[in-house]
Amino acid sequence: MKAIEFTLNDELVTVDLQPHMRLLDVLREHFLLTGPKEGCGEGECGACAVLLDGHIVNSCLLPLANVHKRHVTTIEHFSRSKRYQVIEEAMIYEGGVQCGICTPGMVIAIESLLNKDPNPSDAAIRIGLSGNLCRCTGYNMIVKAVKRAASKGEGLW
Amino acid sequence: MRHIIPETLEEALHVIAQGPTIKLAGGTDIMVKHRASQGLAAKLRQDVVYLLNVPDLHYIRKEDNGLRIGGMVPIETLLHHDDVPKILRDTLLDFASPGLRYVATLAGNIANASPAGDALVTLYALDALVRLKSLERTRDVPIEAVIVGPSQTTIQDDELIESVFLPDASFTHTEWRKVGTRRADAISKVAFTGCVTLDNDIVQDIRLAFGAVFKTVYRNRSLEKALIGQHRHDVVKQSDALCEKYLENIAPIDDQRSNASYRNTVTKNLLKAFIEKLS
Repeated sequence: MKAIEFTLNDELVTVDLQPHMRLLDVLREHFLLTGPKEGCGEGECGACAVLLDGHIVNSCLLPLANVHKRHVTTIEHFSRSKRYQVIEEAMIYEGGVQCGICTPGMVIAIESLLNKDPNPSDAAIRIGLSGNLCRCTGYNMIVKAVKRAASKGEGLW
Repeated sequence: MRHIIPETLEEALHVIAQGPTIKLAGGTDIMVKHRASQGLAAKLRQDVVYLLNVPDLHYIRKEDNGLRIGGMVPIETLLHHDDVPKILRDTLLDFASPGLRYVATLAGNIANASPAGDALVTLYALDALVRLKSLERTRDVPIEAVIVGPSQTTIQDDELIESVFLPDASFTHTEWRKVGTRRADAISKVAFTGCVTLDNDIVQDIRLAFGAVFKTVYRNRSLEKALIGQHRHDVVKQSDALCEKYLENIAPIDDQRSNASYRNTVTKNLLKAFIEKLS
């Protein structure tokens, strides 16, 4: 088996790990990137979300082999961007963060959504966030935060 | 155990020709089904061929009389592609969630052969043909001859799903309905696709497909055929009788998501609502 190489947070990495490990475990245990969390482990909660070539995916469902030669971005790296700062300010302003466990995945979902649709309707926002569960906010605050980020960050996406 | 990440279709076909393998697409079902403890690799007991990123399987192309979709095109791509029939895009909008849709594929949905596979319901209604390819042969098989039961297909060890072909069809009215516990990421309790073509109020074509109420997606061509040539008002008059006939033939089960009695009732209501729209 050839080693698996992929771009992780803008850096080319080569790993000699079992190809059928979950990307989530590789990120957390091998690279010590603990932003992606394991919530349900079966693709229902979105706490493990990362970006694959700029699009949200559930890292708990992805075998490592499937990211070979692709680009993976975790919240740790995304949090250094201007876009992140706009989303962070909007989430704080609208009360979109409470206990925080869903937040890394939720922010990834927001980035993935705005990347495709910089000015989303309410319906599009709810579809964009539909794979991410939050048990605190009731979602409305997060929907408002996305609208605020879209307007404050105009031109960034 | 070997793990192979082929770079071409040709290479993939050579690998699967050597014996039984797990042909892994997006992995969104396989990785859950064979999940191990946190930190450990999935419990896969055969050689694994990872097909998701094989470039040869990523294309959407118009052909004479239809649309051909490469087996590994992500569901999310289909959702935003203008050539994909509207009824399929309507269906795929209810398929899992954005994160899954980016790695899930039609080939994966077909090979997984779940009676509740959402995309399958509409693929049945669209008379999809599945192109199975091995080193030796290529065959185009109607989807209902590929899927024979839950997790059971007629795909041979040396074959993979190269593409799916959707024959052209233009309908007067189409409808996709999914009944589940959550808008996203829910496995359907019951799903329904209806397509009808009317010409001067006469039914020219009608297709009724149901998910999660039989061992495979359920479609009854003889019941459909009996409606062709009839005036739409006459079809509406038969709606109760038609519902009864479908209920006699489907065989829903009790499981963790729902029960047979609920599924029968919902099937009847969805079919009746669709037929009554013809009035």
